[in-house]
Amino acid sequence: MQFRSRFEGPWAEPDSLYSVRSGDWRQMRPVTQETRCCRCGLCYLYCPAGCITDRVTHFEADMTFCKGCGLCAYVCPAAAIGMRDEEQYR
Amino acid sequence: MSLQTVPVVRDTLAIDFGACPPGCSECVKACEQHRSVARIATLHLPEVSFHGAITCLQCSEPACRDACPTGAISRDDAGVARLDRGRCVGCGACAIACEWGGISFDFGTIRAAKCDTCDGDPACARACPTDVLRWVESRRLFERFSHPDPFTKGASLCPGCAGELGFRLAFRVIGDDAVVFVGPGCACALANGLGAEATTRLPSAMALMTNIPSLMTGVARRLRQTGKRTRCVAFVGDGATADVGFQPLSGAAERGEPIVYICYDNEGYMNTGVQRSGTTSHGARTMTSPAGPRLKGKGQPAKEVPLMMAFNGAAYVATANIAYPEDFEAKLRRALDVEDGLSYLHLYSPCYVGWESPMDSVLQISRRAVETRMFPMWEADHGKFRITHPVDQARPIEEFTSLIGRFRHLGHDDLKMLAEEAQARYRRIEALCQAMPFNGR
Repeated sequence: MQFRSRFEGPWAEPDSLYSVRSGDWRQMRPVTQETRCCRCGLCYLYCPAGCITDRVTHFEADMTFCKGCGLCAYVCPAAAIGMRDEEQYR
Repeated sequence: MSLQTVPVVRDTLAIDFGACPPGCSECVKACEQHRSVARIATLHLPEVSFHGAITCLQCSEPACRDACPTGAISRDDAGVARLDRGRCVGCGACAIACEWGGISFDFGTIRAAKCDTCDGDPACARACPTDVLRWVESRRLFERFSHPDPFTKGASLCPGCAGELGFRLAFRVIGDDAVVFVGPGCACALANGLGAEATTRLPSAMALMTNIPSLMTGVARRLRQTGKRTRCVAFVGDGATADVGFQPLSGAAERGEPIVYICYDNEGYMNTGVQRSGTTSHGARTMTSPAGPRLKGKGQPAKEVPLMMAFNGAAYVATANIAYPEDFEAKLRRALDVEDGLSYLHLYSPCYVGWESPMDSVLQISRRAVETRMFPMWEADHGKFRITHPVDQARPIEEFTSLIGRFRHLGHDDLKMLAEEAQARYRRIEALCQAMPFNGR
């Protein structure tokens, strides 16, 4: 079997790693209210999937990988993140 | 090459909404004392068992600012919405616009009053007897966890996994100059790759459950021979640590191998379908310690692996918790500094699947485990003990067990026994701290 990894060493890009589209598992979607985000970054640090991205004005989950666990909404001190039913977005 | 950069963040007052102890108003008293008019309020609604603190959340686009007719509210660079009392006319439009009740009113001078976070040292957070109000120094937190996340974003772990979170946090501290070791278990989904593809940028190796420290010994010795300072770090579950793989770990500690061994303790063999392990709590229901009319879950108290390691020749032993990341970071850095023996970190990582808890509850459970003294936070540096997060007043054990389904079958007497065991565990650590006190490094 040929070794197919695009991984070459500590300098490799994180985007080139193997990943599953774990966003497909999501039942609840975290929605950030841009006007309320106080940019403390706690969601960024506490996301177990490491999928929160910096949108300069606010932080937002990457929907390709977000599994919808709701920890970002739990840690958000400004109550800027709400969990909505994923059905609305399909 | 586009490695993630560290985002610019702001410090903030974190409120655990609705988690106040009933009847407590220490924050209001502190604010009143400090600023004459309280800018924080507590709401106690015993009929719906809601007890919470309410203050300004420092929104990025504050509705109070937009509603103010005189422009008295503005937001400064630190992210704090400030009120200019000279321009305030006391109309109360801000208080109506804020849907969080974050604006208070000074009836003496007829002016609005709002939280300005005491310029980064809030009196309310200092006065809070629990962890409901905390001043989170995000900027310092991000300096501490400054390395880019070396793992893939889409990994095959359950949503909201505490172990995955701990794994990522650990390597944001450790960085790239490390070899990561895992055993068969949940963590290998993040470190070992899938098929022929890698899920991490780090060099990683999966050993068997029974030879992880042995493999690490070999790799660490070879790295030292070649003059490299690359650290060997294991991230292994409690099954491979406390039961199946304890013998090689004990041996490595006795030999004084300079390796860093992190055990993420989810109290069971969660990857194989929730079987009981040595560290499973007394009374907990698992597939191999069932609860029914005659049986009440696991019949034995949990093994205290960190204590076993502390008396087994490990140079540095500490317990850590994902709900206290600053503490975890400090202990991890110390573990990496220690090179004259084995460093052992015991990381509390509740598995909500096996513990029958809600998906977003792992941080709450972790914090309650510390507050109820179920999980004492301490470290032993070369045999000198120190409690790193003292809990003067333990919260009732029900506040911890009510979050966890696998304790649901326990009655009042069983919970009392669990609480007494927890107190005894804490007092034992306290006694060790007195007998062998830590007086700085």
